Amino acid sequence: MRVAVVGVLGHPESSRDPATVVAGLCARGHEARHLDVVPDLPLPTVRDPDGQPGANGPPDIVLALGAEAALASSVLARRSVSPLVLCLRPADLPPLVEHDATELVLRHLPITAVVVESARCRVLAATIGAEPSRTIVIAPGVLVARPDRGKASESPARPRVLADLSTTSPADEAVARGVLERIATEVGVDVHRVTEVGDPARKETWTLVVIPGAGSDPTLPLLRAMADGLPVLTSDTALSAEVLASMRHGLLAAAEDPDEWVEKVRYVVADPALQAHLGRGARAHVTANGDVERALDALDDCLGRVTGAWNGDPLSGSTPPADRAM
Amino acid sequence: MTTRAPAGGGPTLDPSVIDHPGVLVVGAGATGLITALELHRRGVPSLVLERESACAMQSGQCHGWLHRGAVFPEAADSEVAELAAGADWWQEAAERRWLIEGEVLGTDPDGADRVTRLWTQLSVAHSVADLAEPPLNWSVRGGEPSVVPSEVLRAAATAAGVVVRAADVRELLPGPDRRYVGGVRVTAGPRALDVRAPVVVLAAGSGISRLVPSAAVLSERLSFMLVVRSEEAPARAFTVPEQQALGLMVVPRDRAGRRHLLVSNFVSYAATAEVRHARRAWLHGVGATVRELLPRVWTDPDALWGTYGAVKVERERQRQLGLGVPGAAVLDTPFKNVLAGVPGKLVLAPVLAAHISDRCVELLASGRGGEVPSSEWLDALLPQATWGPEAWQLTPLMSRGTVFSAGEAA
Repeated sequence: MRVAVVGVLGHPESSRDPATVVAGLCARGHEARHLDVVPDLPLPTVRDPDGQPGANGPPDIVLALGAEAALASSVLARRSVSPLVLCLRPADLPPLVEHDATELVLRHLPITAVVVESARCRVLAATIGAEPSRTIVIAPGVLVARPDRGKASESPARPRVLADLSTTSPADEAVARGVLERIATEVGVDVHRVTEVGDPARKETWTLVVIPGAGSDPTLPLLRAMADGLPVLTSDTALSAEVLASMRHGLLAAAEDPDEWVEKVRYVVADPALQAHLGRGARAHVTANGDVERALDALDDCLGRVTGAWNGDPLSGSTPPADRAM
Repeated sequence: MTTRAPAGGGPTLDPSVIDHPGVLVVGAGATGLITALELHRRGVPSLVLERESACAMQSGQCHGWLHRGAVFPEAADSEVAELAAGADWWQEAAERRWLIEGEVLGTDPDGADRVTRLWTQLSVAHSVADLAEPPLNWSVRGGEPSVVPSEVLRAAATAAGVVVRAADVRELLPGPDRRYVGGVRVTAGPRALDVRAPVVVLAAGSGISRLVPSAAVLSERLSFMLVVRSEEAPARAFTVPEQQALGLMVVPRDRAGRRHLLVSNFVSYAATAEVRHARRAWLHGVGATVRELLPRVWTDPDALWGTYGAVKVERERQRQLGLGVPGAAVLDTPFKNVLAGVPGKLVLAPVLAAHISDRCVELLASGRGGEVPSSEWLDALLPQATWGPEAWQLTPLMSRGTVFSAGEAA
């Protein structure tokens, strides 16, 4: 089938990334192309970033990645008489969303099916208008690269902590920086801050990855660190708890308690066995449940069912497409 | 078309199917591992499949106390007999290597009589003594030791050759008709495969509902364990079952030559509770009890503290007694060859396992035979499961002020 994937680039090698989704769907035998959102008036439209004037034939289905792509996608879907599947991220849902745009989208746009990333998100989406019978859970996925065997036994002489601030909200930045300064001075570790998703520092050797901040979505930084087999410490929020199980895949700390962050970092860097256990558990967990190929398989299945239902094929047992939860 | 591996294993033409002639056991906690041991005793081959590490979940989160009734004075005689049978199994399996002597302590003068009444009936050796550790004024020793479950089970399973492999069981496979299943579908890393067997035992605790949603309702409770590392920690295990102490239970553990304590009580919360808020409330209560009954530990300036949460699974109607006798512990499933159960208490896992194993023997009586897959064949498809560690060994330890920051007793 021809799939138009509408969204903004920015989450490379993950199931939230339009380029990754396009490549994945093409690998599964579909004709997929990425379309950018163009903030035109009176309505936003889509544009092929490769410069081609329009879609190469109407799509069989439109896939919108994120609430910001919903309106333009619905225009495309309406013009091409195609079903529209909207993928919502946690940042599109309460309590992280600061406006009611997502609710307007869900209640007033012709959305055929909604994809969310967890059962909790499904409940949240229902509170702002998503129809439960048309809401599917597909856990997010990241690329899980093969382990670098040559680096397996390396450990830095002095503990090194990677602080991933790429998803830390502006409101949390000041507190996060204070915590990191205390960690560096009181625990005696090297702390390196990254704020960009593609920062090459991520490929270096780290003892621990710290992802502070409670007012944002840490899912992808967490999954990436876990996929690299690194122990992680992040804020104890409902969202984090969906990604990792405390003490099996990583550690959680109260966002408002700097002492807890400092002491947990101190404890982890002093225990290589604990680091190894958490890193192994994290990677195994992401390999089994957070691999991007698994997410793309689930998305492929979802799109097939939606297209089939749109064309009149009965859904088996009239139950919604199967959930693929982590 | 699929082909099976040659008998005895070896390179396969179809790496997506494993045929097992005996029992698949889903879950390598106490229930699953003891079921495999009981099956071994009965000459039945089994294959245990575990998603995480063996004895890492509930079995690795508990204090290993072998209840014989001291903390359940309202238990009926039949229930106490079940407790005794389970405790005897654990004590025999522990071979004294992993037994930690336990005491029951109290302040109420009549308390010692209530505790010892059942032990006297059961002829459990015990001794009563006065204590001069205010507010505690009596002690009963000998009736209820504690064990380290993962150590006991690892040794027993290794000695018996129990096969435990790492795999995430995703669903039950359809069988010859809708009353039976054909096995399970698993993922092991990136690989998916079918494991077929005539009988499946679900011993996966809260994971049972995912595989058999129509099984009897399971009740989940959120409880906490306090971990303390202190040179002032006592070497003995003890419990203060009185209400004023909130049913305090203290068990020592040693690691790298340093003494740790696992401290729990009877206070638990709905599994849907906000964990941070529940933990804060729990710490407020347990902190006051620890300060009163373990004052030297509480005031040790070098002590380090931590907590972890654990979700305990019981069958819904067990809540009244907090016990898990087999009649209540076995869950109904819609399939004749799928058995499931949750023991409710660690000490009752052997009783449940024996019951389930007897049922497995009945189910296999008229079943097919066949070769047990060789280790080499399994090695090619399913990695060996790892063991533990126990939850307390992973718990970050911090200063008392940080742990009790919002709930510290004044």
